[in-house]
Amino acid sequence: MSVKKKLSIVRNLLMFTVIAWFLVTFIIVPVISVFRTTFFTDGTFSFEAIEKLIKSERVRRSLSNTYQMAFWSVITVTINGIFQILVTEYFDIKGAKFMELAFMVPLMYGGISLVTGYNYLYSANGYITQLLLRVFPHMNAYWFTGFTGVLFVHTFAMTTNHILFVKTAFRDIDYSTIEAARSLGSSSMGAFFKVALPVVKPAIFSATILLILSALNSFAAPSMLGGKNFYMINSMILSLNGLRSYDLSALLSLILAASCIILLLIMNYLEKKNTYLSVSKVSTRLRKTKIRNPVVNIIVHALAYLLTAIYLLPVVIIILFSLGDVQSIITNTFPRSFSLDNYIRVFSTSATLKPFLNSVKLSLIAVLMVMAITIPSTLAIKKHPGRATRILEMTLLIPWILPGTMLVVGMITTYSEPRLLVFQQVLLGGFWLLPIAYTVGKIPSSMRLVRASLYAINDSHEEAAHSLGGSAFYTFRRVVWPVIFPTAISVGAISFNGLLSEYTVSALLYNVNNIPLGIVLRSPEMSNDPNTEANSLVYIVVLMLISAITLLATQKYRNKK
Amino acid sequence: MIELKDIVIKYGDFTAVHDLNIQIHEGEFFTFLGPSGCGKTTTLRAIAGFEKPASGTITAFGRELSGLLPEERDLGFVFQNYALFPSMNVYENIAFGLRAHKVPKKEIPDRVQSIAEKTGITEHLKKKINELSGGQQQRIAIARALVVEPKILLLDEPLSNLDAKLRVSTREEIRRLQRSLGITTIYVTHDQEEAMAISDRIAVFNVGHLEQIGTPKEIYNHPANSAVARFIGDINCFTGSADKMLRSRIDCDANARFYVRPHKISITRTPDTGAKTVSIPAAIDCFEFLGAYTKIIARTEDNAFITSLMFGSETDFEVDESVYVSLDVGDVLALKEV
Repeated sequence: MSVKKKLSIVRNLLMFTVIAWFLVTFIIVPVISVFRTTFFTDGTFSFEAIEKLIKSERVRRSLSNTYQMAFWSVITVTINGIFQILVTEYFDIKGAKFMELAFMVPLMYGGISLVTGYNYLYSANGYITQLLLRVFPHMNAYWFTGFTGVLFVHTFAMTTNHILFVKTAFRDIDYSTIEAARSLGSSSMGAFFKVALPVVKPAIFSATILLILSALNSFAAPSMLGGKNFYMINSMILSLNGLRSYDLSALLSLILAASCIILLLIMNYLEKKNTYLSVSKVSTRLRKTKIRNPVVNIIVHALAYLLTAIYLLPVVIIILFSLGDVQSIITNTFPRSFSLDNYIRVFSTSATLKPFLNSVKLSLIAVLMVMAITIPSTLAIKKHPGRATRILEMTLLIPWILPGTMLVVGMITTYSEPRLLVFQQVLLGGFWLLPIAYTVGKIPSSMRLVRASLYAINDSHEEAAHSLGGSAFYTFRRVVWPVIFPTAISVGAISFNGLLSEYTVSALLYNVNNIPLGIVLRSPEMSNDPNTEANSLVYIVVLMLISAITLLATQKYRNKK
Repeated sequence: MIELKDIVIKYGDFTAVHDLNIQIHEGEFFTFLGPSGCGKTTTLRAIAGFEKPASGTITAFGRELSGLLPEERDLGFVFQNYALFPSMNVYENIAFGLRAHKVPKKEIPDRVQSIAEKTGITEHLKKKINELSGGQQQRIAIARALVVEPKILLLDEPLSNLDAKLRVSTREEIRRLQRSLGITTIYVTHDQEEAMAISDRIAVFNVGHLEQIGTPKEIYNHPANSAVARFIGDINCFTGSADKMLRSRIDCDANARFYVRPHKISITRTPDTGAKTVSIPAAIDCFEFLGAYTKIIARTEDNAFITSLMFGSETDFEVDESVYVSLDVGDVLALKEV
């Protein structure tokens, strides 16, 4: 064996030992810990946690709230989603292109920043609620608190992802099937429901399951809008952790995980069973139909514009208010003058700049760790199929199947005391557990994308490079890396963007010395600083800008590729 | 009777169909023929209500169609790609139109069965669409269009996705079915042989204009202009010295060009001196054996090529041999150039 080859083996061995240590320490051990915390009290097996659950009405209600919320979200999101497809893809509606953009707005600001923005408008003191109260003085000013508020956020924020899935399928429909239905006597609405929708049914099923998953895992909305009485599983886990009731929170996270696994299995089954491939060799592109009935036409147009306003208004108002004076922001009156003062203050004051910079740091660390783990792992999985790499692949995908809160609960219960695996350190309360948890959460999606790009590499290119005398490292640098680099960059950018305002993991793991942006966004009500609300608006606008740039840049980058 | 009167169809500034006037008789098998982009499919889609004419009227059996939605026009449409609904099985596809027409539930199975028998697809009724071959899908598309008993059947290049042998047998079946049902049929194709084989009458389209309407024989033997002549079957166009020779014998418009079908031309070793014949000196350029026929291509003195068709596969001519291309003046078509 040559020295070069020996060196390369040692290097790989070292790298994969570190990766294996990371995965065992921060994925496998926490999962085991959740089971142990749930079913073992003081080292003996017990069902105490289950008994506690049965006894606690509040916790039980959080469970039923979660499933009810998932159910109603499916209904409202499906109605909203199908309506959006009708007005942007099927019927000829004036301004459809603009509407389509408006409906995509939640892609620009998700999670906690969207909830904060909505809350600023729709809470009891919110600008829009106040406006509505002037028109309907008897309406409930607190309508945005509790179930309705959360459902409202779900309906508008979750439809965007749901619809992307279905829209792609919808655009592949062979338009001549719709014409055929019409020539056979169906109305255009009839053709939509009887011919077009059944074809996209499998996509709707998959999207619905993903929707149920996100509704079950919803965290920002219930913890911010739930009020005192409305809890869902995740917000209850946070509350129980605060009370150090770890066994009950671990049990809840297990129930959530079981629900998610069942749903994923159903999705897998459905995807295998139902796919309606278009049978036509040449399919005709979809053409929009005019609504013939003038009354229906006016109603559909009006509803479409109203929906557009619901999507756009929060963004417009947040941007305008963020430029307004602090007094108007606090009192929710329309600003009389606009300036960049709030932005200058946020970025020149160390107290307000700190959480932003901290989130940038945390996200960067997480993204780099994600890349350091997924790229070599995916390469190994592709090059050396076998038992070891299969186990590696499965482990990397665990965070996709299990909800983030379950893994975090496992990390908390494991690393709240010194452990040999982490060199006798107590990680909870320190800096590192937060970026590590971010990393774990982003591994599966990154891996899937990197893997997809890796399979685009022609094996013979690598073989050619080797036979031309290229070493493993040289071949990687000159042949493999150029292919996966664009994906790595865009995956990195998307992950970074998502982590900047991460809330779920942050809420469970932050501490006073390590406060990320998501936590600051959630807390305006708790702070006494009169500028807090203005600061939040500035953060949200900046996050939106970063998201928009990331989205556009990665899309362009990929299109070029 | 179906009547298209002064139909103009536009896509923005582009006029796809110019001032079209056609009358189709009841029970007729009528074909729109022309190269791609000539407006034939656009016209068919306008009859079905999928395109809106910029001006003109379409009436069918005394009913003005222009104000009606596709679903109100009472016609069957067979799409080029069949447009079968992938989410339904064969039975459901065929029953779709019956349900849309609110046919009583009890009647549906019998009517589906009856059309399935007529189109020979009884054994496929339970199958999914993607389990069928192209030919089977084609029959189902026809059955689906016919089951609602439309007054008119529109077929948009229904055979273009089938292989050559299946096209011939399927077109014969379509013709038989049309005859037995007596349904007025409009058929769109770019294949002139297909059009000649099955049509009662043909309308030849060219770049948005209707060039000629007639029976297959009329169109073949008496094409209205050069575009029709070139599109329907092989034809020789005479240029140079041959054109001059013909012009001295035939009285015609200065703009006209002379055309002769290959089977009307004979190749001889000596000039034919008959009063009604013309013999043009030429040399044999090459032969193409086509089984029952042999195509002989001759080259005139000024390097124009003339094709002749001979029965049989044996010929004693040799390449480059000096010959005469002889033709009867009565067979020459003097056609306006378009």
